[in-house]
Amino acid sequence: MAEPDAELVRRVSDRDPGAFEDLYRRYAPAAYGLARRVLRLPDLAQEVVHEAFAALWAAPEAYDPARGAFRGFFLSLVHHRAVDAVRREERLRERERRVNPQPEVDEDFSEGLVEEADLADRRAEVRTAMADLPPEQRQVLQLMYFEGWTQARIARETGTPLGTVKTRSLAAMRKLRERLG
Amino acid sequence: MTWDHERVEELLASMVLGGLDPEDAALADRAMAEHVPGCDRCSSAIRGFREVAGDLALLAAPAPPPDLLARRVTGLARAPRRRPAGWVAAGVAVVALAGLATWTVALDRRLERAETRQAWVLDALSEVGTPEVAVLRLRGQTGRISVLQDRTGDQHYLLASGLPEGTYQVWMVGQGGTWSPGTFDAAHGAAMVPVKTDMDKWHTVMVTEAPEGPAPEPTVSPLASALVDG
Repeated sequence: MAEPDAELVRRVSDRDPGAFEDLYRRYAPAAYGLARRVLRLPDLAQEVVHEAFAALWAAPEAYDPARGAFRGFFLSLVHHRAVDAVRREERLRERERRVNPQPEVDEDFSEGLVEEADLADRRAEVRTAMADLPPEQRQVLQLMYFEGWTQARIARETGTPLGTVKTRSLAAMRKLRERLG
Repeated sequence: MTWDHERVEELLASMVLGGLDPEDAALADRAMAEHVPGCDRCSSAIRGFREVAGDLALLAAPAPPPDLLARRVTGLARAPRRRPAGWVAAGVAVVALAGLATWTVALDRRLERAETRQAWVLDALSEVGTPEVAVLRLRGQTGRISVLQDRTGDQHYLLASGLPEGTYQVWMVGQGGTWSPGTFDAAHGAAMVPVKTDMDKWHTVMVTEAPEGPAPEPTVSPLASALVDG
């Protein structure tokens, strides 16, 4: 049986490179997949994931097991850094769209990639729960989470009242919490 | 301030997704400080929302990370331990710069070069601590490398110390490709390199070893890198 994440993080606190490498092997594909999905730019995605792991190595005590699973903590760390980076990149991305107005496809690079079973199972559960959300709630979460849009921008770009965007965000998060909790 | 649980949950649900606009983000920070710790309902909500936010990451298909990333990340833990993290404070940078200024100049007896370097140092020193200048600390396995990034102009400075003797190359990476401002020699482990460029064109700055001199493209794992400040 694989060593629990919390134990690996404890060993990272003791400066154990082997434990750090185990966490890298366990979460790098998910982290890199997430960063690529948000950023679209492989180089930048690599930098974001590198920074997240560097932050983990520098301060593993930032993870508090009492606040939830390591997976959620670490992937949220990657996500926040990716969103920060994508907001910096907005102007550049707009330039790219003007040059190449093809819609960006969410590429799937996962063929042949072997994930640990519990991570793959969880992935399937999350996808099902997301697919079961009403489309307008799903759209708000996707724009916020993967495009890095704020609520005001979602309201502006989709022509939806800001109050409705806020209500939909909360309703969607509550449903997912209930399904996945 | 009286907090309405429904409104707080609404803020928290989008806070964990990074979707709040600045005004709501400030309100959420305040709720986190003043209300959530003492409220069972909202504490439970934030825990649940954090779990969901972590789970949403799994909607993105996993992707095999590049070999280069694996080498860079595992190298972080295998490198010999050096200084404590968190060197980015501008005040510390000023002290480091002042030390660098003294001996960078002292080491080089050739007056003209020394004067040029002194001018760089004075220029860099005059910028540190102003809101226009960001100090980017490059993360890596060895030495201490930072870039003083002028957010309003195109003159920036790369500062390095604690590097093994050798030649290094600076790279800027952007969507349009990669560009190198040039190489530098780390005499006694230190160097200061002016970099003139429009930083808006780049998302990453990195340094590689360049024992063979300038290379047209980076072909080796970066020694250190950082995301450019926006």
